[in-house]
Amino acid sequence: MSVIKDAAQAVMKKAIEIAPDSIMPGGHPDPIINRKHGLIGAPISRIDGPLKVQGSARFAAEFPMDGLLYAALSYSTIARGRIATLDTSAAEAAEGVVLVMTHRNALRLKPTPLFMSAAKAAGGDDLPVMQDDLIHWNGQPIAIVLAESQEQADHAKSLIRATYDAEAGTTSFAAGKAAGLKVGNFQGEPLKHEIGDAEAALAAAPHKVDHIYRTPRHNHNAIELHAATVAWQGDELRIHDASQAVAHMAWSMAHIFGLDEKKVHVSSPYVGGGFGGKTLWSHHVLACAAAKLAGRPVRIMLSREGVYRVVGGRTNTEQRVAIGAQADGHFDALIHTGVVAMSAHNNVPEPFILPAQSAYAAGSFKLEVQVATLDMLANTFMRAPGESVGTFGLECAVDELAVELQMDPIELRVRNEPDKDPTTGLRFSSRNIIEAYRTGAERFGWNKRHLKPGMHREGEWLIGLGCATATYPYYRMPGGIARITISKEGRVKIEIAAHEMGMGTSTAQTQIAAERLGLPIGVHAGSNYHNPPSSVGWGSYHIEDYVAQAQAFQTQLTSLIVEGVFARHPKLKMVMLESGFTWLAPFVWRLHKFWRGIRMETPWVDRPPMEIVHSNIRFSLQPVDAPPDSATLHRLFDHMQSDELILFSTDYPHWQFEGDSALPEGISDDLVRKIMIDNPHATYPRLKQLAPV
Amino acid sequence: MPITVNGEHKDLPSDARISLLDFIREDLHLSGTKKGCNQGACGACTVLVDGSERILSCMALAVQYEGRAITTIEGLSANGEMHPLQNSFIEHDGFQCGYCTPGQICSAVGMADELRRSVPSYVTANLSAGKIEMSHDELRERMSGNICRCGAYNGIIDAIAEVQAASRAQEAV
Amino acid sequence: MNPFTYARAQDAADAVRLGAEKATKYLGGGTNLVDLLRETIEQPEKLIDVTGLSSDIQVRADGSILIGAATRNTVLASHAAVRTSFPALSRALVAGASAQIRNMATVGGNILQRTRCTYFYDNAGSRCNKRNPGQGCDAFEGFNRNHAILGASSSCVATHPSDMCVALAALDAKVHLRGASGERTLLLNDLHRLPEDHPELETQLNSGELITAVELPPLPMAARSTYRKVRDRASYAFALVSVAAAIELEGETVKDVRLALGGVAHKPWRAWKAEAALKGQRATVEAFRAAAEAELAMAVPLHDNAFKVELAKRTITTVFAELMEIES
Repeated sequence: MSVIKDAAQAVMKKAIEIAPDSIMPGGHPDPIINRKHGLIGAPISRIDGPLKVQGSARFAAEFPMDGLLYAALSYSTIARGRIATLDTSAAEAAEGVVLVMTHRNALRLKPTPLFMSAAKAAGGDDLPVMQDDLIHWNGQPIAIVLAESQEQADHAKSLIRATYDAEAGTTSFAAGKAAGLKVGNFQGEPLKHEIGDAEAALAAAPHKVDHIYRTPRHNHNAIELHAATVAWQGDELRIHDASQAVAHMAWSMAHIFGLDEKKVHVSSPYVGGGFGGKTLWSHHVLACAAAKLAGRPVRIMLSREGVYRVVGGRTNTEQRVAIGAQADGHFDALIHTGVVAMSAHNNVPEPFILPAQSAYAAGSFKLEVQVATLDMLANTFMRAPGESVGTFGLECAVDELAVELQMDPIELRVRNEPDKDPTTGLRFSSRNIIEAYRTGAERFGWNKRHLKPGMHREGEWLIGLGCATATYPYYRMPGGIARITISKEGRVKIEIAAHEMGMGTSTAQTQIAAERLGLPIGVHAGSNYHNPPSSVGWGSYHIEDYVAQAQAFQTQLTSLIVEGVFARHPKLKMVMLESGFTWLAPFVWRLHKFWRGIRMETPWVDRPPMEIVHSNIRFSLQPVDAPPDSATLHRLFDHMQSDELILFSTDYPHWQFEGDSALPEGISDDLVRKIMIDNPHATYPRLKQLAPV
Repeated sequence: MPITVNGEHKDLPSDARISLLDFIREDLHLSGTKKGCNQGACGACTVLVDGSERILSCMALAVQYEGRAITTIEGLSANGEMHPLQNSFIEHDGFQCGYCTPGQICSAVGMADELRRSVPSYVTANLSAGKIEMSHDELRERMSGNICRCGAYNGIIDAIAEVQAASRAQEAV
Repeated sequence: MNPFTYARAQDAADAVRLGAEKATKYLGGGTNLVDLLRETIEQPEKLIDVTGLSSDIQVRADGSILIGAATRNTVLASHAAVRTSFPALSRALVAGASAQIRNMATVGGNILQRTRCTYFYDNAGSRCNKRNPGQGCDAFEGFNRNHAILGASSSCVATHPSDMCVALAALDAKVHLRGASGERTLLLNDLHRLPEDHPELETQLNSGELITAVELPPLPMAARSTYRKVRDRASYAFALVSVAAAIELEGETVKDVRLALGGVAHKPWRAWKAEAALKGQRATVEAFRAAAEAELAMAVPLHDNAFKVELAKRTITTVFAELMEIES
């Protein structure tokens, strides 16, 4: 029973091909691709760091609600069949219990939309949730209990008694294989490629390996247990979720519950690990359905056992890798075939042939993933789907062939390096695996490696040295939307439905946005919790602390320049905020003088420090730590030898000047214009697009 | 007797089944302490008892800690200033998703106290020596009760090692 | 968990009085019991918290040590006399679990912790003679990599998970008990039972009987002792095989020896045969190996754990060699 619609297949295939870039004729390359010295790649601490280390980042089960009920699930203990009897009377009568929902009284719902059956479908399988007495896998939820406390819900769940009319299900891999295999489909593509007659070429090859590699089932085991806090307001549904796909969740839940998509609000600011597993599973549907019936918000957090019952993982694989080669190592035949397990209601056969599609040149190819149908929980994307287990089989076979050929395993790989994609014929936009191997070999002392394993022992340990190629795909999907708001104060807010599961999206996207919009980095003093601001340590009095901040800025300035930040990022702009500036001139003279004298110590400081300050660093006007007369102040401006350094500021609401005027007296009109208009425009280019002042 | 959490007295729940973890999260709405397994296997629920003893709050019944003082991650920062470990974790990128982080930090505070008291570990070579010789292996062994599924272990170790070294330097003074 | 009431015992007499009521259980650190309550494997109606009872560690003049059963694992492992005179015990304690759990766990609770057999734990779906006498044992022909190779039966192949108990078994430790009919003392080696055809009976304790203390008899040779734990991970995992050993030499001959194994049986396994084989022998790697062979001759491997037999022999040999500071 194929679960992929042909039209959807075509949609997916086309979508992945879209997004022209610099190598496609007629394409418009992204302008920041080749920018080498901006914010991209700059080592910035995660912006959500302070929240996470203080425990203030809120995860899905941490949004408080009035009248919250807690959920517990009861799971089937047979793999296939029907529920015969289901006694929930003791559970319903238990203290604190508000609702026990089963297939008998569940809200009527549409079946879950399966991933890739529509653009925003997010379901692991296409089954209806708790709509009938059918059991499809051992672990399928058969009841949900809602109670005033988690302990009450868990206890009530333990009182539920079910009996089953079990059918002979297929739960062993051997039985599934024996029942017949189908070719797998992954993201709209059949997992089958044949080029030439690989079996014949293998048989004729003078050297060969032909082995079976098996990998077990895997579970993502994200440390945050799958959870959601859900609430209805009339026909609007709000889900605080732990999700990798909020837009998909909203659409899919709307579909299941028969709602307008705009009435389903899914948010997931922080996810405690996803790895492919935090998408739509039956606990979401059950929590929302039960919440509707009970008329109260619900918190569901799966137990660790529940995660194994409800959330799919990676299937086991049984892979055959056979390589036929010439004496010089060239591959005449590359065969990578085998079997994975999958339920009849799922469409994620582990695509372990993906690496073999691109890794090596060969005279002929036979690549195929076949599926054995089992009564089991749905598979899903799990930490490098196909790539991780597929490279295991492929790379082990290459290594074993190297032993057979008495050839260095890296050399064998080098000899089979393709100059274009071996199965599609497409050009590579970049490919540096050989350089990686060469560099790695040098750094790891590969030339000291024994060709025969088991030769090097240190104490109780046998030490070996090996290598393998890892691959990972890069897919571009259509439909991403961003809302960018730039305020007249010059602040930018970017809202996207991306996910912060720990990969640093919120930080990286901020860097990209800042780079793209040409935004400077502002440095402001304060919160002296880490290092004391001065060389005599922590001040005892506020005056010490505040005055000492100038020293902190001075040393920051020195460090940034001398460590070469502006050599690496010549276009980076830094704005020192509330640093004062009247100390600047003599300080920079001192820095400049010593750079001239001993600059051989820091050859990466490729411009005079004074020049770097003039081109890359700016200072806020306030506080003006001014001498008593304005003439002296004016001379200080001259001493800075540039009128481009100062940006207007007031330091409101706690300004540090007397009177009402943030601008000190006696500054020429030209300088005023520089401070208030020209210098800010130059530093914050977007300001120029606003209406003139 | 009440239980004290981050310096404040709190009434214990009437249901003896409630874990210290659920009491902290659901009754007191301090969600910094995390539930990662609820069976003592991951360490994300680590809190400190009477200042510096690290325990797993998921395996503790709240009623057992009547009269004791509990410090959670929220209690580690004082007067708006973060704990040195919190700063160090940011600087050394000792986290990704951040879910194990509060447990890691509380555990590291507890570990530091155990080191001061010369509590041995499985890798301590000389059991009879007065002081524990700190090493990379000792640090990893002593933190082995805290799992990180994102794999931020290198940053975690660097963050803790830096604070460890700084505090030992201060003690030597 | 089912609803239960909670009470704190003031002293041992108070605890035993409360413990005489039906459906009560003593609660130590909770690091095993709370888990069993959540899994509804244990369903007491009342918990009696005994963590306030004696946690004294008394070192007597003859070198024996009396340890209050409420002593936390970390505290016992850190005690100077234990570290110096009974290092196997200190090392065994710190080999167990994680630091957080060691801070919570009591000595009494550690002794009475129950197996972590996955079929025992699968309350809803698996057959287990321990949970339900007569139901059957799904581990016997199931996934039994972590299960017993010694002293098991077709009724039960579970192992005792404690590290501390293996060292205590090697050191001839005694447990002091108090019950409704008074006080008595048992050797730890006699406290835990083999499964035979009644795996639901795990100890010799009478109903309501409380462990009040553990006693280490004087044993000067224990100053040369150690504990080694072999597990799938470097830390924080149960033993595949573990060894507690002590040795005393007279010249080149073994004068006295202690050996106990963990991870291999329903109780900490005192290796009497190996000890008998070694006494009076020249202390060589060959002799250690031969003794190990003698002890493991009765091993009955299961489908997935045959490796434990050889692993136990090698670990025994290596540990004695280490104690002797010779290459193995």
